[in-house]
Amino acid sequence: MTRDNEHPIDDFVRRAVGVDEIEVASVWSASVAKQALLQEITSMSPTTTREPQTNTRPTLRRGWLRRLPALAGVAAVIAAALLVGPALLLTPDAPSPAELMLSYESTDRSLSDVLLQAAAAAGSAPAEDAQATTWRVETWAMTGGNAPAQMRPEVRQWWRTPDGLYYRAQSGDPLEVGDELRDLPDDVDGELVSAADPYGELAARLPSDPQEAADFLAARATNPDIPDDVEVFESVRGLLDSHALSGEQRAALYEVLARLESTELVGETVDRAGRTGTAIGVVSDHSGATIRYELIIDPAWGKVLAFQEILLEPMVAYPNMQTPAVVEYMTYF
Amino acid sequence: MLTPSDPIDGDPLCLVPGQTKRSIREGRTRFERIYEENSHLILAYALRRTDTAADASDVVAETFLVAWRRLEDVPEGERARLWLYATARRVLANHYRGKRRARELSERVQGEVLRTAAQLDTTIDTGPDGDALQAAFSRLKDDDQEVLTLVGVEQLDRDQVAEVLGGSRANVRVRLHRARRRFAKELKKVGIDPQRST
Repeated sequence: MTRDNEHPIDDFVRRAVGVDEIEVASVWSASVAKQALLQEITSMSPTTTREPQTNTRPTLRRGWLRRLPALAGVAAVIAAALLVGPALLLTPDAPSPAELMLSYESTDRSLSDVLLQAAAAAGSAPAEDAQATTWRVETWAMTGGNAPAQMRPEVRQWWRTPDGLYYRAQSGDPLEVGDELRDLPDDVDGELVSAADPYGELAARLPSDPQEAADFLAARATNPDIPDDVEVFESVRGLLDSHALSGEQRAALYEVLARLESTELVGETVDRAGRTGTAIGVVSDHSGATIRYELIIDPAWGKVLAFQEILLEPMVAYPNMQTPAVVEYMTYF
Repeated sequence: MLTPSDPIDGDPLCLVPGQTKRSIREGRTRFERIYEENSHLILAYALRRTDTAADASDVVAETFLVAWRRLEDVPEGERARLWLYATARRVLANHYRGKRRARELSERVQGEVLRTAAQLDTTIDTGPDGDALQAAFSRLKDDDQEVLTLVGVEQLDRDQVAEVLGGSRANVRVRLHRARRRFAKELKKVGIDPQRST
């Protein structure tokens, strides 16, 4: 029978496990065993002994390298690595991070040329309708948890609605801080998540003038442990990939990237959907690992094709991992 | 202060440096109270989470042995129960990994506890749908079973579950939601619709 203020499933759980606490209490209280155990334990010397430890490992979330706490440094990464374990366990048929690397070709074009072309193309596009914005992202990232780090692909469908940002996924990976699960009909597989929207406020107020946009984002780069350029790059990425913006705003964001000292041109590449694009990125080791945060854009259309994080140097957590290696990617459709 | 080898009024308990007769007696009284209030709960927990009465009796015995030896770490009040669940959980994890402790209790006491656990094990009554319910539940992952029983059976709220499992309240909410959905799907596979049956 379901008790007040509890979930209906709880009654089925009780019936499934079948152990009645009242009966246990009754039988145990009357048993010889109860007193015998007590007497024997308390007759022992209460010297301190080691409590049983288990190797519970923290759950590492998508983008964990990028989202390590502000004060994380090498020590924290090593500590996490020791808990996770040094070996990678790949899901069947999953490529290794090194195998996932794209190849790049050099280009005669300058970084400025590429980004200004993207800005011009974006600026000529109509404003996106927040109610109609849907996009599909294929993500793939290392996760931890109670098993050695695994590579796990996941496809998410995103919606931007007047009520907020949602995604639907097939797998039950850990949620980001601020995400909430939503109920789906029982015959629908997967989960619907109301996603945290850390850039929502920025999108609403983002100036469309490039210099003003640059100043606006720079003023909000307040994390003392992350280089300003990297924070701004991340903000631009977060705005471009999941917000309905005007053409002018998108154009401004590409120009913001062009103005960052740390932005570098990586090269021409073909993304994992077979689309040709140009990779640009910033490199930082603020997370304790040397990572290139990379956007692949189609400058002719002013479109972001993909985002990825590339581990450039080996790290203690994954000593067997060949570098450079892809530790996270998102392909936008 | 007595020396380590001096018995207390004939009590075979040996003192450790820094202990006094009074502190030992106070500790024993406190432990007995914790044991009295919680031993049946830990036994019930162990019976649910293990496959055999022998395993359940081992978990109970080892959990309270740890509590006795780490009494200074056991919180006061209701939180003592959560601490015991968390300890039993770790004992169970070690047990499944084959890291059973050397048995420190006498065979006599081990036998008594085992007999009681076995008696309770055979009286489990799951009702008319029992086999189907058990089958559905057993197909869940251990993590799902654990969070469902902590909430549905041990009747812990999410903060308490978070304390036992060592995670955050938000994490517990997510785990619980997913576990309930998965159990509901397993129930439907065996012809039980949780929406209609309650």
